[in-house]
Amino acid sequence: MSILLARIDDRFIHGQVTVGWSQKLRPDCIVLANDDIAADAWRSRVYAQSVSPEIEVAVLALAAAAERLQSEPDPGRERTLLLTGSPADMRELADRGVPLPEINVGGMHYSAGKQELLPYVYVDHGDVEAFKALIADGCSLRAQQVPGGKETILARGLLVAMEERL
Amino acid sequence: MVRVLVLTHGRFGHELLAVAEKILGPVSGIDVMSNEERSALQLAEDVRRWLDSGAASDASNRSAGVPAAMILIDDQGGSCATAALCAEADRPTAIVIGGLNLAMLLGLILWRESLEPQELADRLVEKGRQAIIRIEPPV
Repeated sequence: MSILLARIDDRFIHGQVTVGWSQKLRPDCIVLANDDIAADAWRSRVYAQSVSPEIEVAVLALAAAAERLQSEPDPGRERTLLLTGSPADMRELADRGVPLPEINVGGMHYSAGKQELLPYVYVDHGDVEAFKALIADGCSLRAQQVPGGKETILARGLLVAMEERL
Repeated sequence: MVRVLVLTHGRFGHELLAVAEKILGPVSGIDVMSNEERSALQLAEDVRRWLDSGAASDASNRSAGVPAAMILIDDQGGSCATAALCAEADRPTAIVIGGLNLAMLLGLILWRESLEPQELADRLVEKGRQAIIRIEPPV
């Protein structure tokens, strides 16, 4: 399966994804990988209904998402946009064998215990650890909210400096 | 009277309400919430908290068989719509309306005391659609 964009975004499917990235990349499938949402039928339906009907939305637990992302795609479902809500979830997909050469960091909002790395990326120790592990696996981390927006490479040095502030 | 939450991206809802007040004068009883700086989960929790804040009046409305609350959002498929729907998952009597525009908000302010929530919702959708027209130059 061709992953057009692997994105970390704690809003999952929203305007930046349905309008911004989808207009640019024209995916025919969005895989939303999250254990909690996949276990919640109502939230799964809400997300599934929030995009144009020609785009399939698959809300899957991480294990199922990893399996699907490594399988042969159905015809007409080759262009996939992958979403997770956290670096830890993206790391788990990588650990399960999903090829992720490049990861888009799109939005990680503030919550207790997190500090600002970028205006739209707040992190704690766990997030930084997961980012570093992804980099160690060969992933390139690029923070960018929308197509055409400013891109910031999240290099290991930047993360180490951030870790010292946490 | 149904409780109303305007839930929008950025400052859109606040500004829209400010414009409505310039047209109709001070408005009370309409709450405004932005999605700014909130994850999907946080936004849904804030909406849920707003729904809970009116528990007594909502219960009174529910017992009378009318919707307890109305949430007006600016877009379908965005974080606001998702949060509204996720927050009211176990409150099926809340009405969620998308596509908020100035005409709808003015209609809400004018009609919310006189119309029952279901009829109000239908009128607002109709009013909002009517306001979207191609304006031709005079000939």
